[in-house]
Amino acid sequence: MQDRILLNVLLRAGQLLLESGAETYRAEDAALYMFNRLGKGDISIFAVPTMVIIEIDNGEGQTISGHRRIRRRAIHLGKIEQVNSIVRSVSEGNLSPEEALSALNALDNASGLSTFQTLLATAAAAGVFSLLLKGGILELIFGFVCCFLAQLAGLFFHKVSMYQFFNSILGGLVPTLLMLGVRQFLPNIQHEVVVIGSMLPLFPGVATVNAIRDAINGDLISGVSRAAEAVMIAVGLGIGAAGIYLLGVM
Amino acid sequence: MYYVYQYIVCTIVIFFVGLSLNTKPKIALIAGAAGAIGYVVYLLCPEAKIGYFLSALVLTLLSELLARLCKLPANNFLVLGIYPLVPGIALFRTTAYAVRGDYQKFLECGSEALVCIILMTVAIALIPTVFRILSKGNKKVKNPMD
Repeated sequence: MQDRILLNVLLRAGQLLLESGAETYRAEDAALYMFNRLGKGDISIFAVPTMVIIEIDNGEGQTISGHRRIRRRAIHLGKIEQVNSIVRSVSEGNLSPEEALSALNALDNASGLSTFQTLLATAAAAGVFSLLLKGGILELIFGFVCCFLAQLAGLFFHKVSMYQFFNSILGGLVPTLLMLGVRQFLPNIQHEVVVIGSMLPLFPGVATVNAIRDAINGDLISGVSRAAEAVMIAVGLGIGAAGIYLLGVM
Repeated sequence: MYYVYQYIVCTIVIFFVGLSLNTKPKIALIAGAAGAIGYVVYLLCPEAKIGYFLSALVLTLLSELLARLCKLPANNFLVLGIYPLVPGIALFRTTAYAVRGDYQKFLECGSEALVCIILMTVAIALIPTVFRILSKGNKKVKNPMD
C-alpha cells in the first residue's frame, strides 16, 4: 500500500512537470530523488514529453508499475517552480508521501492568471518588443492590438486538438492582415516591426530551450520530439505571416 | 544612454513574457533583469554572430547562478531570457523571400539565421556541462534539481 502511494506521488510529480513544460530529465530526476529518500529497492523511470512510466521493484519479489499519459501540455513555469520545491522538501525528508500527494493534487486546482490576464500580458510583451526593434509609440500600440486580436482569435481553436498549430498560424496571419489595412492610413508605420513584435511572444522559446537541454542530457527521443514541436510552431507562424504574400497583395 | 534604454525596455518585455507563461511577478522581474544583461551584451558586440554566442553564454551562466541562488530550475530563467535574442527579423525575411520565390536570398538569409541559432545552441549546451563537471568534483552539492 505504501509503495502504491509512493508510486502515485512519483507519477503525479512527473506528470505535472511534463504538462507544465519542464525538461524531460527534470521529470525523471524528480521521481528519482524522491524515491531515493522514501523508497527501497530499484526504480526504473521512462519519460518522454507525452508519457511517463515508472516501475518499482521493492526488493522482496514484488513489482509495481504505473504510467501516466500526458495529453494536454501548456507552459506554466509557476507550476514547475512549485513542484520543484515540493520535490526538494520530500527529498530533504520534510514531507511524507501522503502530504506530498495532497500538495501535488492541490497544485492542479491552483490557477495562475486568468485567460484574459494572460492575453493582456502576452499582448503587452508584444507591444514593448516593438520598442526593442527600434519602433516608436505607434508601433507599440499596434503591436499590442495585433497580438491581442491574434490571441483572441486563437481562443476559438482552444478546444481543438491542434490548438497550438492554429494558434501560431493566426499569430502570424492576424497581425499581417491588420497591418496591411493600417498601412493604407498610416504610411509611415514600420509594419515589419509591428508584425515581428506581435509574433514574438508566440515564438517556441520553451520548446527550443528544452529540446537543447534534453538532447545534451542524452534524452534523444525527447530532444528530437521537442525540436519537432518548435519547428511546427515556427512553421505555423511563418505560414501565417507569409501566406498573405502568396495572394500577391504585398 | 541608448543601452540603458534598451536594458529597461528589454526587462519589461521579459517581465511580460514571464507573466504570460505564469511565472510569479517577482521571478519574472529577476529573469527580466538577468535576460536584459544578455541582450545588452548582444548589442555591444560589433559582429552579430559573436553577439549571439556571447549573449547566450552570459544568459545561460546567469540563469545557472540565479537558479542556485533562488533555488529554482535554471530553465525558467533561461527560457524567458532567450525571447529577445530570437533572430526575428532574419526569420521573417527568410519566409518572405521563400514565398516570393527569391531562393538566392532565401538561402542567404536562412543560413545566416540558422548559424545564429546553432551558435546559441552551443552556448546553451556548454554552460550546464561545465557546471556539471564542477559539481561532480564537489560532493557536497545539496540538491541536483537546480
